[in-house]
Amino acid sequence: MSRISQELYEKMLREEELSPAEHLALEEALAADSAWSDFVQEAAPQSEPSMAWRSELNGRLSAIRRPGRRAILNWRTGLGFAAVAACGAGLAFAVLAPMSGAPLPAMAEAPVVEGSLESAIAAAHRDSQRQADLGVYVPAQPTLAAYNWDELGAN
Amino acid sequence: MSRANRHDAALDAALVENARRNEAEAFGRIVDAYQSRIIGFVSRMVPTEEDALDVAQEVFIRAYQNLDRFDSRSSLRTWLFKIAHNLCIDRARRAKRTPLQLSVSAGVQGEADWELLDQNEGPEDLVINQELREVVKEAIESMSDKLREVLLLHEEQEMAYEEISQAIKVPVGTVKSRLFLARAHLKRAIANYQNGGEA
Repeated sequence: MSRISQELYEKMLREEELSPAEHLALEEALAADSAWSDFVQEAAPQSEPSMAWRSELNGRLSAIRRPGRRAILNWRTGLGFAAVAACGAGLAFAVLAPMSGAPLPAMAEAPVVEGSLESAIAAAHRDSQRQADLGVYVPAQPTLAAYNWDELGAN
Repeated sequence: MSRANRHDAALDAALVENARRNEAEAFGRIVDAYQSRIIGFVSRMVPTEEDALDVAQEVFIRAYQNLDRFDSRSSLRTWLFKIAHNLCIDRARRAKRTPLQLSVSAGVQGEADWELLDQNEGPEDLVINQELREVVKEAIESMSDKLREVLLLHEEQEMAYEEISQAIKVPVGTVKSRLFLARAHLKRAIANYQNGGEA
């Protein structure tokens, strides 16, 4: 068994750093004396707490309001969702709602034959759209001058 | 056979997780598992029994309040005794104990203690009666706080050197030195008792 020298003993008292060899000697000395664990446990007094102590502790623990996970999720997550919803609504409004002055998507030009009834109606519609954009209604001027009334009478 | 409660690390981890989900019963089981050990330790580290019961409750209160801060890098046992260690230091400071009582060499007789180390007799040959229990109790009380703490954590709570190092924040080498010195102190007290002297 490795012995602890007086020098090493005094170094430990002063809590000085030990050399590797000194550490080894210390390890061996501790291993040789391992029976002290059982001895100390056997000799130490029991320490069971009373019911009054435990009851008081339970009361103190009950009084502590730990932030519950659910509570935190409710108000914080709700706030987050509200913010996202507000942003989403704003974006939707900006994208989908027609804005004043913004050009309307161009209508697909229907293949119409110039001089036909269809072309006259289409022209009248475009005129009325332009007036609506301007906020002014002007009765559509007949633009059917090009229409061939003779065709209508002939069936 | 060990008197200390053996609490499975995996079970501890499950209890902590349940307690974090606000399951009061789970934290109650943690208290059940550790109350005796914490009280046993604290009662030897603070001046009065009243202080000990108060500090022991405070250990569990602090643990409950800070459950979210506990990480699994250390065991639950290490964490609880770390809290206990810190609270005992606070209580000792408030009691304004003198530096000598806190130093490693308090109660050590230097050369006389070193000579005792030559004795090969271990505690296996000792019969533990009430008198000897009292001698051991007084020897533990008379050693410095630093030595007593390590002795109790290692011998009574069966914590490994690395666990003790984490709990009280000193290097492992220092833990071993203090344990050796604590045992030397015990040996001297028992030798004095056997020789009819004072502990």
